[in-house]
Amino acid sequence: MENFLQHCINGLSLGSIYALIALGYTMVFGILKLINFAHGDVYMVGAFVGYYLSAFLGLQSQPSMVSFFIVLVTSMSVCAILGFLIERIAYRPLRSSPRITALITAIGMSLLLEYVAQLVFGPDPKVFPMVLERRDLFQFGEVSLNNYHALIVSVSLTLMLLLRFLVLHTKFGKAMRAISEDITTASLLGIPTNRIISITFMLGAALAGAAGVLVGTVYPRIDPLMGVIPGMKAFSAAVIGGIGNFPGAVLGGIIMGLSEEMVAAYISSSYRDALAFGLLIFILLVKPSGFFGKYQPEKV
Amino acid sequence: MIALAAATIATYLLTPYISSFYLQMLTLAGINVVLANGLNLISGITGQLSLGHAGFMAIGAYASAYFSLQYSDPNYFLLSLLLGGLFAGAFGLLLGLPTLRLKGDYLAIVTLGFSEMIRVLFLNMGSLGGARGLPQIPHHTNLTWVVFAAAATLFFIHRWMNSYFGRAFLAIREDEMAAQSCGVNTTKYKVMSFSLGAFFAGVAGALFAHQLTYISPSIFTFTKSFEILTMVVLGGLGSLSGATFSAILLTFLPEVLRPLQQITHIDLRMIIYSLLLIILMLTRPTGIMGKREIWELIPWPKRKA
Amino acid sequence: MTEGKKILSFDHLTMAFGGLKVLTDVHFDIEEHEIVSMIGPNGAGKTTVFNITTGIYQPNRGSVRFCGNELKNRSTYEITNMGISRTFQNIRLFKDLSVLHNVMIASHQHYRYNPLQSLLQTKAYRAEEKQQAERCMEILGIFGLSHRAQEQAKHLPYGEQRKLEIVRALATGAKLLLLDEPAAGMNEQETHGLMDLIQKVQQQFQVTILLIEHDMKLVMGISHRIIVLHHGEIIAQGKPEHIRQDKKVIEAYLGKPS
Repeated sequence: MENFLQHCINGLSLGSIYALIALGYTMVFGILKLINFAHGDVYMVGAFVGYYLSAFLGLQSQPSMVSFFIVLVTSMSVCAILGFLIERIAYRPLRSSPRITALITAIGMSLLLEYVAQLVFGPDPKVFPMVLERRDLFQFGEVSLNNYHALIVSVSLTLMLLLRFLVLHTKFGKAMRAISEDITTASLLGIPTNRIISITFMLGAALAGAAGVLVGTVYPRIDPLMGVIPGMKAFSAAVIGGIGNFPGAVLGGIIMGLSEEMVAAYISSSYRDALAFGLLIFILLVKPSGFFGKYQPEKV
Repeated sequence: MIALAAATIATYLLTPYISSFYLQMLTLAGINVVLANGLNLISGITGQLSLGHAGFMAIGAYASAYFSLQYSDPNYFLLSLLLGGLFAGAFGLLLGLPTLRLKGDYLAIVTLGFSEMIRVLFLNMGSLGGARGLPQIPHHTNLTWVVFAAAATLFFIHRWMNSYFGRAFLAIREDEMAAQSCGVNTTKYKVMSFSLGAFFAGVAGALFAHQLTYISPSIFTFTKSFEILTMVVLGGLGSLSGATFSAILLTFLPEVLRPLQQITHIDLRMIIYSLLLIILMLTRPTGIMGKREIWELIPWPKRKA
Repeated sequence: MTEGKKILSFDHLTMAFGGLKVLTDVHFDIEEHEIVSMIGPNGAGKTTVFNITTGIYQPNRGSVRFCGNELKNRSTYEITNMGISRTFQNIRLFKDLSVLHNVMIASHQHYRYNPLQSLLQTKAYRAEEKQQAERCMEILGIFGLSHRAQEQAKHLPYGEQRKLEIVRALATGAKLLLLDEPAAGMNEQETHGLMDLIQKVQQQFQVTILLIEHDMKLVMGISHRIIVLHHGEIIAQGKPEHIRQDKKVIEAYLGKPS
């Protein structure tokens, strides 16, 4: 029983990470109807930015919440810029192109990021410096809740709530939702679509960057291909929750995290990754609109 | 058909005169021609973007290798090749079924997922070597076989496109709903296209296995699928001559680049491929040939319809 | 007009998407060789009727019967092979394919050979290809499109694209054609040509035609009967002269006098 609780805690933190990344996928899909293959790699960049920054500032000699936040905020900003550039250079020119073209471009962008990262950072995994010391917060028998768990969940939650506020209670959010419905009409109504889309990309990228830093802090091993599998899993999570739907992405992330943890714990660790694909394929075949998504029939 | 026979015989006769370096390159090129055109059938002609071609290749490779390890007599090679193709084709059928409900992006992701699952399957199959791979596959492949296979592939696809089922493939690519309105059973033909494309990938995989004499799951990754996709897209989705040309081009490219490379071989090639693809999509998404064939551009007298 | 065989019957057809009621109790018959027009303000549900007939949607209640055969739960291609074909509101030609190929694909169900024969290009294959190609060229010829046979469909001028779509629908061998706003975007001269075309199609090929249209000149000019749809319900049906004067129809289009 205690073991189960521990797995729940672990699964929840893992799920929060997936939720952060999934939100980026869902935001971009909602607004552009495009699967941003490169999103998982932005997460990877976030982790590496954190790595190099910590090394540059020598932060491992003074681990603290402050150090952590410096790394977090800087990384999020850099990723936001990266997100902006990717959209501007690779996706905007293809706004009116057939979907296949945009999809192939997204794949190309993803691979480009991965292999350039291998070139620039070197393909070997690196150890993320400890910017925050691990401390156990609670302990009931075998179950331990440490500050890492708390950090992941609290940072994720805060960011998600901020995003929710942005989407539901600001003019920007309204504009974003309008563009998701009908981009042509939105632009005819005077909404600066290009700017809103850019900002959306930046937000999604920032969240991915945050996830990267969190992961780097807690599971210190990072490498240029670290975004591939989590990216796929987060995308699956977004689809399960209903792609285009924000609460869905969060729900999907949590489900993905929990089920992965449970499968690894109680069935077999080598099937962790296969689970994600299995779930994705299952959902796509059974209910492609996911939990909260809308069924969008082709207009004839 | 004459061309097919001529090419094969010519290659058989010429083989002893070709240096071993070129022999190896041309063999690889031929295999890539089969791979590229198989994918072209699915993605270029029928319009179903498939990101899992390496998976079919893997099935063909493993199936035929396993057979050859039991019956290593070179006279059985043709059988081994066909077996690889048929197994892969059967899986192609399986993969074609989800197309009933999925379109475009989603289908592409599922094909990727399938391919990865196949790879994980082979990774965990101890009887086929698992992570350590399958060594000591008899080296049956030679240039003649490869040229024969490549020519046969082109011949088959060309003839196929001149039939009503080939045209049905095109109709599905152009507009699926309109195709249905014209009486085309789109699901049946989509499944057929996956199955055929997979068959060719399987044969290519078999040829590959008997050339390298060693296969492992790490060969058949998404990167491989991406390489094949790049060939088809560069040549022009839907063009046989385009796919063939760029398959050959991209086989020789790494060799041309070798003097430029000081860092890891694979990385630079992949960077170039991904850049190439992005730039291509931004500037000339239809590839080199677009949807046309090179013989349509040559103004020779048209045969009466 | 003599009482003809009922070729298409809509039987209390009801359709709703979620909470949105699109069709309510649509009930009418079409007789063989008739030209019937479905008119009504936008959003009245006209295209939905087409979509249900061709199997794209399944009705919540009621059914559609073609020559007595139930069309529910059949897929689109099956319905086409039974003898119903359609054109689309926004042209759906096979843009990158030639005009001839467009028509040849429509003849899909008529081809008789198997893959082996086509691979070896046997005599049977070649004869069949020749025969079908001739038939397709003939149809194109009747409608003055044979000089465009090798051109890509996307290069045709708009009016001819619309014509090609109708010709393609005809080439399936259908007995019932559903034309969705065939005159959309046409000027007066083109519309006149279209009217002649539709009548020629009906006479020469002995088909029944159901069309959706907004152009009243065309509707009044060639229809044997008109059906008026408004908010998913039939508010009037009958001969053009009657519909022209029907109060409910006038209200639907122009609104109630204040």
